[in-house]
Amino acid sequence: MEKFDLVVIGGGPGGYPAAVRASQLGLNVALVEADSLGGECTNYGCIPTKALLYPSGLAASLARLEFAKGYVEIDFEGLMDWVSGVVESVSGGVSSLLKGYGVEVLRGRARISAPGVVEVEGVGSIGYEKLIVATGTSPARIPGLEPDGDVVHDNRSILRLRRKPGRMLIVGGGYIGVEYATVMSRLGVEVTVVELMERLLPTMMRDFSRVVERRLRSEGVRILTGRKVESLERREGYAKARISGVGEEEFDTVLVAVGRKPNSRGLGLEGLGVKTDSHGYIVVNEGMETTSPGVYASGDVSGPPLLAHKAFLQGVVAAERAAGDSTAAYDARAVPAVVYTDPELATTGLTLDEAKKMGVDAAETRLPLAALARVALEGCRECFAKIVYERSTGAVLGFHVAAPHASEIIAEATLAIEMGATVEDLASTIHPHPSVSESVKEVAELALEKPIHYILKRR
Amino acid sequence: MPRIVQVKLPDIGEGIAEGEIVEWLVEEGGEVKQFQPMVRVLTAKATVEIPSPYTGRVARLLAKPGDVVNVGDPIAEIEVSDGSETTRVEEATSPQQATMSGGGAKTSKEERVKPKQAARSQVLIRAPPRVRKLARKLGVDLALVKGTGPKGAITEEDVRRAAREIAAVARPAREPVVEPTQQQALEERLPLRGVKRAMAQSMSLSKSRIPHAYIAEEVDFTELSRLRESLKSDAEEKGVKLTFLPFIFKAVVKALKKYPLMNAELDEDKMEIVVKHYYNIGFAADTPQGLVVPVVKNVEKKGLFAIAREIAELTRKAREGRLELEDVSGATFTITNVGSIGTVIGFPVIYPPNVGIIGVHRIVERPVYIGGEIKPRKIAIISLSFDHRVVEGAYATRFLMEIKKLLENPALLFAEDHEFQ
Repeated sequence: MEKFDLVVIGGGPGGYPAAVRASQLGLNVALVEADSLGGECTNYGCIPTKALLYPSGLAASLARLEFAKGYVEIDFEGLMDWVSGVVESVSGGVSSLLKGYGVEVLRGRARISAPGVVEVEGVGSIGYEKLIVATGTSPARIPGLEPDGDVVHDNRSILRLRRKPGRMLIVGGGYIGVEYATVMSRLGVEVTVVELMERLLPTMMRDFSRVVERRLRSEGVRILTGRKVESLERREGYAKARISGVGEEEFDTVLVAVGRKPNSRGLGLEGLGVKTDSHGYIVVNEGMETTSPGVYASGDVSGPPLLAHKAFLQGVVAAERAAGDSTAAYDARAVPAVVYTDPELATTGLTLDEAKKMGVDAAETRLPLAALARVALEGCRECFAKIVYERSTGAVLGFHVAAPHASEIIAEATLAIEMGATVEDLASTIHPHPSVSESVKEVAELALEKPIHYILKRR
Repeated sequence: MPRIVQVKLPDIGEGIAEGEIVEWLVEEGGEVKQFQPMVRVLTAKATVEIPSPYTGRVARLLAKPGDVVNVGDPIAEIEVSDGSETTRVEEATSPQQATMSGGGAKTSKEERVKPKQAARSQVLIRAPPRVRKLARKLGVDLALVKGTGPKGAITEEDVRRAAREIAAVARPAREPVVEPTQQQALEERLPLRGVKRAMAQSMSLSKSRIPHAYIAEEVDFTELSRLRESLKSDAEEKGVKLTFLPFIFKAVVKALKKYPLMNAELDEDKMEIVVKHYYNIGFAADTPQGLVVPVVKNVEKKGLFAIAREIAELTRKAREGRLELEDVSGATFTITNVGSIGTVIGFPVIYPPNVGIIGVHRIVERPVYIGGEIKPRKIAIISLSFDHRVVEGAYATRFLMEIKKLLENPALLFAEDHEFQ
């Protein structure tokens, strides 16, 4: 049996960066992947959805320009094939990366058969000194709404769709639901989103829900909040959904995007004394150490927020710990999150409510971005930026923005929080003009009550 | 979000840098509630109960009874149950609230707010990732570092400075185990910890820094004994056990008012005498853990029975190891009463930063000439050790004679105070 210094279970964002860093630190590393390298993000999540959004967004942007003559028709099958190609190329990139770093990649389902031994289905057993569990999450199964890969889909099977939906039901108004609603409506699909809570994106700030609901509605998406899909009757090529307060309706395509569950079962973690919480997430400390010495967990399986970029850092921390650096720690002050709707929604750090709940004397300044040159030319009346800061020092605690390219500017605010920057620092930093990034500076100026491009009425 | 969170030895205050784990009040695998007393820690000044900052399951205890841990060191890991609040608190390294013994189970509104404050201070620590990493490497708790950067931001240099300060006070690691020699085998090494260690440090400081001078005087306790007998039943009715000590407290405070330099402290840096117009009298109490000095605060405002009651309560707490920091802080003058054990004369070591300490010794019935006749009188020697930088012999003697006068004519103890002003 071959023995490795480190075995990483899972080749997604929580796993492959761990393997790369551990290899850089001189460890002999094996990585076990049961499906496809890159994990949920590369194969079924962040990457394919962005791939879907990009061409459909280009077409939608052009269509908004009244003077743009002509008509762009997106071939659905071609789009989906192209998305698959993008996914394959990104996944292939991960593969070459691991190869380049000399990481032994084993394909198959892993199981810890004894302490120090991982059995890889169809491959055999390998030994380990240290273990990183980065097995991620899977879509939660709702009884009656299980995907069949034909009419009813989850975020994985929907990517195999080649027939363009006519009437589509999206169950769940979280970020997956709204991103698919955005794509599909752009492609001319008649979309209905059903969300149990009283607003879309129920876990995010209300302003975001308002922006996304208004925009989706204007694109013709039907939004049913505070409602529930009570039953789903499957027929040949379509399904009958009973929606509370609405009645029975027929859809040819259903996407269920409701919740995730951790892949912590069936791995043999119990035998190692690795504890999980009541939801099944592996319990870890800031060093990504589990309750079993020498065993680490990173990424989704170690608990929410379920974000690839959070997993990247956790994987690196776990690898550094495994390589003996006891000072490595996941201690991010701000975790950015982006919803790639139109406009994009991005958030980092604390909201005013969260800061207040912690007893921080915080303040919030909100700036409408409709007049910001770059935003104006892309057209967004509901766009805004919000900054949350400590009143006495002006230290930045949070930043929340709805704007085109918000995903590209949120890292600046995250850096500001990590560095302990103040609103004055942001206001005094030159931002390129015209750019969406100016929203960071402008809202900071407004917080200081010294805006240049905004008329502040003297009280 | 489920997490394992570390509980660190909180900053208990009063400049205490370490504590010895006395006893765990929770066990590994057991459930613990927020504010539930978790561990008893013996510090230099008192035994404190540290309440749990979280609700959850105790995953691991990281220190054993007898271990000395520094403030900020992790002592336990708790697996916190779900809930947004606990996740927010998870990385709190700031001093969590430590309630002193006996107060651990309090759930007043004020204390409930504290974990949030811990989280808040975490949010408000402005240190870039590279500085946080350095702090982890050097074992520095950022919550305790004063930032010198813009608006209190913590810089790399701040962390390095804090690390140097910690290193300056840290003790060297334990000696490696070596086989004892024959002679060593017949010796026993008793670690000087907690209260005993504090006493050792304070006594060294006192004897090395304070030039002691000593005087003593015979005091006739006969009248005071009578007075005490006459008050005894009344005291008992009020649940007060009346010893000589509260009378001595009153006498000392009255004498201090007349000789204020005795109720003072020398500020060596500024070469100034700080005269205190409040009278907090510490008294030496013998406990199984060692000598402690509980303090009765503002004696000048208290009646005899109240003083007696407080002395009894503090003595009881001292014996039970339940003294709170507040109980042992802020003495302005000290009394040590060894007479109840024995010895007719001795000279106590000044309890810094006080200027003086009196020693009360055994009361012995002696033949005394009074008006040419030999009478049996109850005599005890009261000695005074004083800081000769602050007061000189004549002043100190007058002070001691004042105490003698008050104790020998106890009616004066209850005469009006303004006679001395």
